[in-house]
Amino acid sequence: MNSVSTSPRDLARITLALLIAFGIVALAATYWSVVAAPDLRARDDNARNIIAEQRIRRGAILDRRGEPLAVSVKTANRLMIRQYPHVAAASATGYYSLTYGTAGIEAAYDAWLRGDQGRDDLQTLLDDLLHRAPQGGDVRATLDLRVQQAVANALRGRAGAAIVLDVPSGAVRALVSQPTFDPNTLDARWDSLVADQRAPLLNRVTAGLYQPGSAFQTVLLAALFAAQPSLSDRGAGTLAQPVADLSAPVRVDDLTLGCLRQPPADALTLADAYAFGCPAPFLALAESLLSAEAVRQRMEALGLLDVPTLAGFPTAPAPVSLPAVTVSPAAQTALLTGQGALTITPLHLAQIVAAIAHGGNSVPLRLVDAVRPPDSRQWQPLPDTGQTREQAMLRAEVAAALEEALAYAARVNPDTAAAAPPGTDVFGHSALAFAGPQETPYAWFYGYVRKEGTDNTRAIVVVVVLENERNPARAAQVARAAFEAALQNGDPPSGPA
Amino acid sequence: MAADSFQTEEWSPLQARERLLLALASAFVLTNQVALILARGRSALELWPVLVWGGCAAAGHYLLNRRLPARDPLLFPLAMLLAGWGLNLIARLVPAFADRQTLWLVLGTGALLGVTALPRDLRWLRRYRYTWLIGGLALLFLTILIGQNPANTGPRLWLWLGIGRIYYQPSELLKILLVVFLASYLAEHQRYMRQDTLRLGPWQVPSPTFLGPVLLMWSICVIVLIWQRDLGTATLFFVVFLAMLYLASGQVLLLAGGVLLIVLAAALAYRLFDVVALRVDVWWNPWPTANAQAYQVVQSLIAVASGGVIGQGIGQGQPGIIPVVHSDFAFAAIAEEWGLVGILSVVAALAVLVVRGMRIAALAQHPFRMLLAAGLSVLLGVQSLMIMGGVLKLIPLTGVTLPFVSYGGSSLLTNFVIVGLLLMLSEQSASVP
Repeated sequence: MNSVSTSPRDLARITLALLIAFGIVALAATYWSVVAAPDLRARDDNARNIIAEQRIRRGAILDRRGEPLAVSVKTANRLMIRQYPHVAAASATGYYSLTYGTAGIEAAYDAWLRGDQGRDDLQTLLDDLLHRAPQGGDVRATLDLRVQQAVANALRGRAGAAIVLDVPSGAVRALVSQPTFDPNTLDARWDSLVADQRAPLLNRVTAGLYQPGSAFQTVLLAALFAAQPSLSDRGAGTLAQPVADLSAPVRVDDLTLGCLRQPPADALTLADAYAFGCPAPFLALAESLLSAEAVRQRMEALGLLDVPTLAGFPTAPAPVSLPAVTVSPAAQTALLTGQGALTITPLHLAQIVAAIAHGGNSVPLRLVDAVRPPDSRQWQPLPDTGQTREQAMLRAEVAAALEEALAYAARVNPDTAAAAPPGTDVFGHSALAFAGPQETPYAWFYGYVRKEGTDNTRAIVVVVVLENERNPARAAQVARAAFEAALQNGDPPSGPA
Repeated sequence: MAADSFQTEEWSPLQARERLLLALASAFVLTNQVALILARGRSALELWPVLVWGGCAAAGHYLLNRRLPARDPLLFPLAMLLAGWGLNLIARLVPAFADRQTLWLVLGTGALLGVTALPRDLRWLRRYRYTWLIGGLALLFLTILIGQNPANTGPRLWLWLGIGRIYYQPSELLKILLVVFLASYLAEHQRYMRQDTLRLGPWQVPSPTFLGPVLLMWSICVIVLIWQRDLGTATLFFVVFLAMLYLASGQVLLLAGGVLLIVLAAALAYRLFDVVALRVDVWWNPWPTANAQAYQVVQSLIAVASGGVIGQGIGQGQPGIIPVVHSDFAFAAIAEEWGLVGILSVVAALAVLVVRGMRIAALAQHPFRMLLAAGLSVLLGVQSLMIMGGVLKLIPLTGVTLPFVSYGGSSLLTNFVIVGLLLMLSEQSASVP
């Protein structure tokens, strides 16, 4: 047998080299699975994130009666898909898309719906470890599907927006923005929705910026009332004061503004000017009695210079903040006729009208009033958002005087009266505004009805804006449908379980 | 005691240790399969590959006790552990292939036992080295001419030799035959290599006559490279060859020259072959092409990251996102579902396997046996390092399999034959005082 002439040292060297290589592999494994792991896992092309998202049993969104507005359904391959049984509610529920994110209630309550909120840490850790699909909690909207559908039907596919509120709860009963979208087919139709000139993805109630037009007369009226030392006559003195040149035209740039409809021959007062939306008397009074600063303060007090809030709902960016005093006479005329730099959302008007109906106190608006943890039958009411004490938006006397003006307007102007359901008294105002170089007309209606058999604090508030509409009666007709539906479907027979 | 005498002691400490290790491996493999069935809601019938595996382990242990009573007690359990783990992985990733992999496991165990049934002095290997080598090469060239790929696609067209429904890659067999040939050739010429040297400056260099085999090997590797466009297998051949040449000659300069040749060949391949260039580019910077050429590599790294320290658990990750995960990226799949703990275990198992093989070499009493044990161990080790390093972006990815674990019958069979040969060699080293 040959003796081995290889030195053991050579074998040891090769072995050592291999072991060092194995050690480097072990270090690289540690690097990728520990050090570099968070960045790698967060990469967009990590399909696991999408799969994990699809496994989440997202909570349902229900209307105030428990009717499902958005539900997650398990498909054959153990993944969840989101379904929206009522397309009419899309403006409020919004959408949930793996590709395009979330909007509406889906966005505002995302953390709750996907279960990031409302579960304790131990449960979360255990679910992670055991690969249990995360389960989110349910959300109960204040929305009333019947009212929502009635309003959507009344709009008849017209571009526009409508919001229905309950006062004093601030619960939004309907929130309709048209044209709208079908959240069930959002992913497939996204490109055309985004490209659509009519902006179906824009929520016109919360984010649609409109000229107030003659709706600004309500602001001026509030300013005039507020300037009075005493309003014990519910503003009768101011409203009854005769005005000259009731229906005189007002020129703003190349726009000629007049009354919404020809007032009757015996109409001579400021109340008539308000009822028929005549701009000239308001312009004259404002220029003689109100400083620019007083108007600005009133706008601020009425929340027109702020972003309106709707319990976490995405709303419009702050409207243009106006310079304190120094504005040109032309710009001041444009502002006072609602055709200037100020644009507002229907939500702004809804807040003002709700405050008038609520004795001048502001009403915090909400679209969701309760949440329910996964596997629980018990709804947890959500605390009022921030404001526990109601803040005064208007002095009580000013609110009462404005109510008089609204009552008179709804009585004498048949276009506004068209909003009244049979046997009810409407407090309302119609307005017209013009926007853009085409001077496209917009018709406004805003007002409220008192709930029958109650004291003077409970009401249904409706704000409607119709795009490309010159006849204010059309907006009032939509409002009437909203009032009828809301009054018929008052409080549900018993509170949901 | 004569080497061939029958071992009567049923409970030698070595055998008891092997039995204990096999029992531990069985517990692990069985637990994996049960967890898989529960996690994926599969039928309990899917336990059968593991039961067959258990049968192989038991039969192997029993028959090895009779044939090689003083064998190394770690080799067989480690091989079975990795093969069982691989079986779990195939059942999890591509259930349709589990039956075939189980069949290959039976064939592999049979081959291992078959090898150990041959005369233990291994003269049959050493004497007929040219026959083995030429036979292997002939098989290889035959498949170049008439071979087929069972999938009918891919670059490995020539590597497959179909016999009925079973396909075998002759290049896998060639790995062993090359090591056998080199061990035999170098053992015979070792004395001359160490004595017949030239002075070249401060270094001792073997005479140029020994450059002959070096260049022969190198040209075989280049041929393999050209035909298969596979830097991996060629590099593997050549690295193993260099290690054996170094062990035989003790000349560091040969090693350095060999490494230079590898770099040269790699640079040339990078210039000449798009496939090679692509692999190198993807390795150097995969991120810009993460959606295209580097998709597989990036997704495999994401899979490793998703595993974290303890892994997602068998059947609970998403390793299926990586294309052809069951062959090239078995290591990444283990990382995702068993975590860092899992892949470090695989690294450790393979490292121990290699170290035990080198220990057998160190204890060998004959240059042929020493070189054979060392060559086979280096072969296993370098192949493991190449695929693990490739998956972890340490080196360009090559198409070699993770020994015992990856899907592929030829590779499994070959690795079992290697373990069989190492077991034979360990018996000899252990029984000679």
